[in-house]
Amino acid sequence: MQKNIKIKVALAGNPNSGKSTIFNSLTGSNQHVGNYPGITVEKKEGSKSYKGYDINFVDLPGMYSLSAFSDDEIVARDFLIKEKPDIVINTIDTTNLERNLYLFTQLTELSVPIIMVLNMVDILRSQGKVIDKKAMSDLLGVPVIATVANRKIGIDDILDSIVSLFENKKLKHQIRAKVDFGDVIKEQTDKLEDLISKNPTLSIFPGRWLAIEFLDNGPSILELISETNNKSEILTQLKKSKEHIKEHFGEKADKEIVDRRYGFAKSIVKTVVKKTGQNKVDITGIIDSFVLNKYLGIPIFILVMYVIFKFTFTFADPMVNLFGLLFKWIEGVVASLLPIGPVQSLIVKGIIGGVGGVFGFFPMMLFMFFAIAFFEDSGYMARAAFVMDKVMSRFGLHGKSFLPLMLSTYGCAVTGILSTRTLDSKRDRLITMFIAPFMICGAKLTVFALIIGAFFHAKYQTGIMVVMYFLSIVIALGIAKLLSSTVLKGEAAYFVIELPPYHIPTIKGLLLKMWERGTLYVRKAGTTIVFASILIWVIFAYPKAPINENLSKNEQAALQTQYSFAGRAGKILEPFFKPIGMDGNRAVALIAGFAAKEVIVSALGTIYAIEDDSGENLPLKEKIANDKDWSFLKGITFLIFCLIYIPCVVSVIVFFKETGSSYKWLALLVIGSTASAWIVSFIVFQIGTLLKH
Amino acid sequence: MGFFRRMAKHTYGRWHKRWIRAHFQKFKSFDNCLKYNGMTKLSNAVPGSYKFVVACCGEKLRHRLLEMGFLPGEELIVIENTGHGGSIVVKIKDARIALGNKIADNILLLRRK
Repeated sequence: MQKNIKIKVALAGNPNSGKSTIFNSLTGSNQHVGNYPGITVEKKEGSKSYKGYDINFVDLPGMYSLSAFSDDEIVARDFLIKEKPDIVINTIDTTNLERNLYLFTQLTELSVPIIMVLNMVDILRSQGKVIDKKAMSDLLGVPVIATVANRKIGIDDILDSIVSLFENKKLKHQIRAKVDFGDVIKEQTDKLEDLISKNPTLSIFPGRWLAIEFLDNGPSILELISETNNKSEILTQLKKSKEHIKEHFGEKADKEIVDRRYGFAKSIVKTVVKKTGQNKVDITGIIDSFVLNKYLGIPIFILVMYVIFKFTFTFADPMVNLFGLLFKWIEGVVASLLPIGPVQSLIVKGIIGGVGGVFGFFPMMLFMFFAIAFFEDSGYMARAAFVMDKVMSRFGLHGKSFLPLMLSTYGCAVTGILSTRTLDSKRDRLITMFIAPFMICGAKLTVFALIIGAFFHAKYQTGIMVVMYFLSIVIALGIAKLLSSTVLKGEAAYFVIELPPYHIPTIKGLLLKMWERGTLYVRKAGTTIVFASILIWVIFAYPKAPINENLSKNEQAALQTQYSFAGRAGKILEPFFKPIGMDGNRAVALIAGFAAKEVIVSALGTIYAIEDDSGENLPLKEKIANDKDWSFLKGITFLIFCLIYIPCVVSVIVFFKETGSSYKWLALLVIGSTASAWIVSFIVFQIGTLLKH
Repeated sequence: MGFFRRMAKHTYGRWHKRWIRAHFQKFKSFDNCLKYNGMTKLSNAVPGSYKFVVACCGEKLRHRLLEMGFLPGEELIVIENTGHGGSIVVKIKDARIALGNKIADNILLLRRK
């Protein structure tokens, strides 16, 4: 046997058919996630060596059919047709056999060798049914393997049959059962096939499949015709064929084709599935009767969210502190290694300080992703989208939009923006990405805690915080409503999602998912954070202030702030900030906040270092509270400005990338948010001053 | 000529209205008409067993629903209807599918005895 021959295997199947679990147990941790070029659909690949073969697995996005409907499905279809994998593994959720076989009927027409993997056989057994594997294999002419992917049963069988199918060339063309569309449709597809084979661009596709797809009126398949030269000929033939079929059956051609496919699937289900015992308790049904209930749905949703955040904060806090200490230690070590000077300052203060500030949140994010992955894999997230759809649709959003918003509320807007990939329609994605940065993220929380702590009695602080959260949600949803009724007119994509049966997720799957998303965040943010922190360091460190021996260290730092580019810019911008009750110092802090919102706090800290004469180590909170230049009203205005103005640089960059590098949207986000922040705080401040007098 | 045309339209309009009134007065509304014929919109359906009849919507969604198993005559169980602009959960071909209110408004079901 030759060594290390490569086998390309694609996993295809319905969404929620347990494809990813099988993929995980096939490849283990030996996998990586990338993007398909051009679009933001994740490409999961993994490899495994088995019996001297290098088997390369590609986990295609879940799809209901090959007549592609969303971006995901187009990717999956193009992969199957253009890249021609050696073997396709079709995962099938046996509890929903009929609909899963629908995709199989389409796959058989592509004339690729197929291995059928029956998943969740245990759940079917608990429903009192069994599947006759042997009969199924004989009937369809493909190897059929039953697995319980959660417990790693049957994974070796899959690998064995991949190898044997690859070695055994004869088996490849063994598919026996194909859907019989009847003489009338056959006659028309033959005619179309003839035209397709003459066409150079279309002939790369399997002719019979393409002919049927044309008749089936698949939304994206018709776009293929426009690229070709005998287009008009095909189109007229297609129209004629459709009319002929409609005349003959009294139904549209696509309905007839879907009907035949389902008829085929139904007949297979009838012969293969046998009822043996009584139906045991339907756990999914019982849980759903509470979770989806008219009255209980929303309280349960809130409870689940609470559990997620409680989990995250309880377990992540020590880790966050540890990370903070780690970065401090690294800072110390590097500082002692390098000679004092601009290079040391750049590395310690610029790079390590900046990166550490943001990466300190990394463990928290991992825990958050873990908790969310748990609810996703267990099947609750689809229900949550169902519960939230009622609220979201009022504001022109999709039910699934709640997840990005929630992620950016408690984590970071970057993760929120990245998670909009779960949305199908481009319009919904744009709106959700646009409003995600307006939520109060972890970084903004520090600013809010500082200012609220300074001006409010401890009794009211929580209340004010809740009001601020509420305000941020109102602002975000208001913007969504505004966008959906002006720039992005049109209906939100219709809400049709499948609710998968509940099951207990595997730890391995959760960890993989967590790691995958975490590293995605690091890769996305990492490069920009390094760049941005260097930039911020430069504008705060240069030009250098004259060194005055009489001044203390803190005073020297404050003088430096005034001397630097940032300080000068603040002075210039002061007239703009005066009407909203801010002086140059706060303007500088806000500008620095563009790097990351936590920087506002540290910048204020530097600025206030000079301004206390009494000198003792008062906390920053009290310094602000005692300052005459601040007032209750100015504090509130500052917070409102913080809430709305330009999002941090990382989220702006991620937003820019995810919108497909659209400068128009970038400009709208940056200018629009800052302008509206100024206007709102102007109104608040002026009305407040009027009321005071 | 314009006058005659207007007159003709006016008369036809009145006749048309009277025709509608004559044929549909017993129903009073579209929903009642459906009820009389043993049908209901999905958005108004109470939990129970139904048959799918038709979905009036765009070509893309119609195709997607077809593929998901929404074939005319297909058995369908409404599991939960949150009502008042909320979404609906149905069970079709052993799958639970949640549908938004806007689509559910355009789906007709036949009640099963």
